[in-house]
Amino acid sequence: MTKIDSDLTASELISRSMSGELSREELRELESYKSQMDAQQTEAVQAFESLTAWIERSAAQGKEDVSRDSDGLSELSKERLKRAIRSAQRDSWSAGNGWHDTASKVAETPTSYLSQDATESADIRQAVSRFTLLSKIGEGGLGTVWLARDERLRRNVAIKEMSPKAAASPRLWRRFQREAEITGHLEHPNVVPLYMSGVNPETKMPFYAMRFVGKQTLAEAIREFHAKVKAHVDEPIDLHRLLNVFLKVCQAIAFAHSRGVIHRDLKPENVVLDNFGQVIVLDWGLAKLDSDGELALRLSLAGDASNAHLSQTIDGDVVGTPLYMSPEQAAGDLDKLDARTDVYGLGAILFAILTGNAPHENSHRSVDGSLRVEEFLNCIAGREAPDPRAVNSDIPHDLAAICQRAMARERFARHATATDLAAEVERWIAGKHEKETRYDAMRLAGRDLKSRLCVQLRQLGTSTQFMVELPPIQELVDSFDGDSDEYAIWRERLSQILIALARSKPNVSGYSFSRLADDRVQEIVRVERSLHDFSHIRSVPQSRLRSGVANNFQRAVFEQYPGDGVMDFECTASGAVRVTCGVPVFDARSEEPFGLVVAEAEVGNLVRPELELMDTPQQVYLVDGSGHVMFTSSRDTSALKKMASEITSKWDEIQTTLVDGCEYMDPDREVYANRLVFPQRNNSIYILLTAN
Amino acid sequence: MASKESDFEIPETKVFQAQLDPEEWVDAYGDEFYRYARSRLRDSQAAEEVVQETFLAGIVHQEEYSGRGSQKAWLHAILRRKLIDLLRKRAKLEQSWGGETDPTVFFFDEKGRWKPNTLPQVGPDDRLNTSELWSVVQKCLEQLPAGQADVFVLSVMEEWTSEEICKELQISSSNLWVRLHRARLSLARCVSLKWPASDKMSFFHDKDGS
Repeated sequence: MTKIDSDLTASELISRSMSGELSREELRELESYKSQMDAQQTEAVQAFESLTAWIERSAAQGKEDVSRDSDGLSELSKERLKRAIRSAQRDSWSAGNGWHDTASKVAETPTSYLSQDATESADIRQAVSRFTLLSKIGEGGLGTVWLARDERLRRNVAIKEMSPKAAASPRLWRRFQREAEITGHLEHPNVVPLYMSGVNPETKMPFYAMRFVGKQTLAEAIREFHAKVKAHVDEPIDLHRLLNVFLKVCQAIAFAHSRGVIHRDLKPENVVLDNFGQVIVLDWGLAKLDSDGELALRLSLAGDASNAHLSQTIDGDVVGTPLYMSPEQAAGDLDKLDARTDVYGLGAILFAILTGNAPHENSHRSVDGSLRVEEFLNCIAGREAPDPRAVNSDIPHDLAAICQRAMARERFARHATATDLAAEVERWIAGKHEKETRYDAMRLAGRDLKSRLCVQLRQLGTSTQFMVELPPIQELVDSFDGDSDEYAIWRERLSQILIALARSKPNVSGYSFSRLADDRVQEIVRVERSLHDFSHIRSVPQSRLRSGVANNFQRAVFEQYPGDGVMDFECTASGAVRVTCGVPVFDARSEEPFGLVVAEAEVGNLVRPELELMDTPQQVYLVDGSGHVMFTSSRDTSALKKMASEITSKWDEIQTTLVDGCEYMDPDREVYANRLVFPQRNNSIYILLTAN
Repeated sequence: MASKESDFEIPETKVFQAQLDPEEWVDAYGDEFYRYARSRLRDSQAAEEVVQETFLAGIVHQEEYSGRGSQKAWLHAILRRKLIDLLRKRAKLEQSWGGETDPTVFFFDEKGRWKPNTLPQVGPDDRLNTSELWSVVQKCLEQLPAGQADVFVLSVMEEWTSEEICKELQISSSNLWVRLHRARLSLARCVSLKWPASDKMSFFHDKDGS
């Protein structure tokens, strides 16, 4: 029994009592100890008990909260988990004995493979009995692929053995044989090398042994890449790597075509990658041989038993995988299948790389969401090339166009050969680097122009503020309702000063000083640059001075505190766009607002000298908030029209990006945009640059 | 170890989820299992590993699933076993459990008497904020030595008896009670420091100002 000799011991007992683990005797002793406590001790015990009980209640409730918590596994973690599961499933299947983890037992039991003909020599028997099965890699319609150990050469190999179910069909038997023969005759770095073929005497099933080329397929690499994109942790090099894989697949297919072999079942699952960048195209079981192709001829001369069927298409076969199938395959036009069918398949792989989806993944679904094969195939047969940008608008236009051309419905519209397709993708990769460099220059020019315009506008603001401080302004305020002679003298003096000021600021279009009262504006002095002779600056005669109801800009200036200004831009009657800067004028004696001074400058006059200094090769456009072009450096009307249509199509995207304070970056690297904000008027001038 | 199936309610919102293919487990159960594991382990990486081990074990032992209960509950039972395995390994590794972080010095003087004003009084209004308190308690659990936090989780959240905890973690009964007591004191101290101040609470302040 515990003897309570301190608060510490008592607190331990309290703790145990919370778990309901105290004996009656201990409880009694604890109560007795508590009854002897002073007020301070009692308060401490109560605080501990109530706070701990509250904490434990929250923990007991919190344990049920797991489904409501928003923080789950990341996309990358999920992809990692899925890969681990797929790998474990393969290992589990390899046990071949339900779900027990007996793979290791299989590996310990050598399985002998004997030659096709039982009467063949003992040498061949020895040759084929050197493999030990390790684990099952995968299973397809034709048979099973095993990872095996070549004991003689001490290396891993892959062995594909036909399944008894498939072997029951003479057609599939022929296909298996043909796959082995075609694979064995295609000697290329991107086609898996075949070591030997034969029949397993135990199962009586045909098999062939080939190089073990790793487990990751292009499909898995694509899934991983798009999971990264989704999690915003992708890098430009990731896409570049996948495109390089694609080029190697093109090379393998171009080589096969040169030997008269058409693959007919190209899809990311049939491309295997190893850790050292090697790319292997697998599954030539559906391949077709051109009757006059080199390989068909060679096999024919060799007198191969199965060669009679090699150049024939097998009637009734489902040739290809629907999700990646070409229109001629889907339509069942088997006599139309040629090298361009594989070009379509390559385009479909490129589509998967760019979008993460198979091209026909969302082609046709019935109301209940199910997929009916017949309707699906009809849909593919009659369908124009799918647009990758419809799935992902970030894909560059020209790369999407390459993909669409390869997947054109009509065969003649596709790239003529796999080599042509590869060359076009290579040109895009090379051009991408050039575009990046050009885009960097464009971005620098855009930022430079913005900062130069900021300086110009700041100077315009400074000269307007300077005008307010001129002595004739205050003298005109004083004499406005008084002596007309004095008023005329000061008016003349102010005109002279403003003319001199305008001469020193060649990009300024005019200055004015106006009275604003009862929401009406009346110009007192106005000097302006002649529209016809830019060097001529005149003072506008009193009879031509403007008056009328104040506009929003003038009202906004009038509401400012002394020294503060408002800047805005407006479209003039002549079509020119002017930046206006206004500062209020106060009566020094009454301290009431009297009027305003305004400086004006045409946007073109502000921008042109800066562009000459920058000597930028890009086309520059200044656009207002509605998307109207206010200024362009381009004299080419067709370029202007093209730009106007480009702006219209991208305007929402550009505006949204720039509102968030970022620079706009076009996925094709053809357009750059930033903006100058006029905060008082909630207005902006958008600066757009395009590559020549 | 006694079965604790009954204390974990698993809502099966869709009937077809009952028999999913292993490849679908990640999307269907991954997030919830991960959150469950993380709330018990307080370690994201360890939680992810436990979820992965659970799914892999599910594949290996799939034929043992009778199909009578839900697949999710069956996988969840595996998850709990995996969690216990990890906690047991962690308990073995934790040689110097809690010795260097004995919170009793903050509450008791050298004679073993309560120090004044070391903990706030919890008022009736505060008790209403139990769900908000849970997020504070989670943060505090992360700061506790694993030896203290693990026994607290097993005792309070998993509602294990002291015998079960001692047996699974292979610790003595006295060890368990000292750990649990220290966990309670540490949590009380941590919560009183992190819980937003109110007029009803006179907060504990360290002499060093923490």
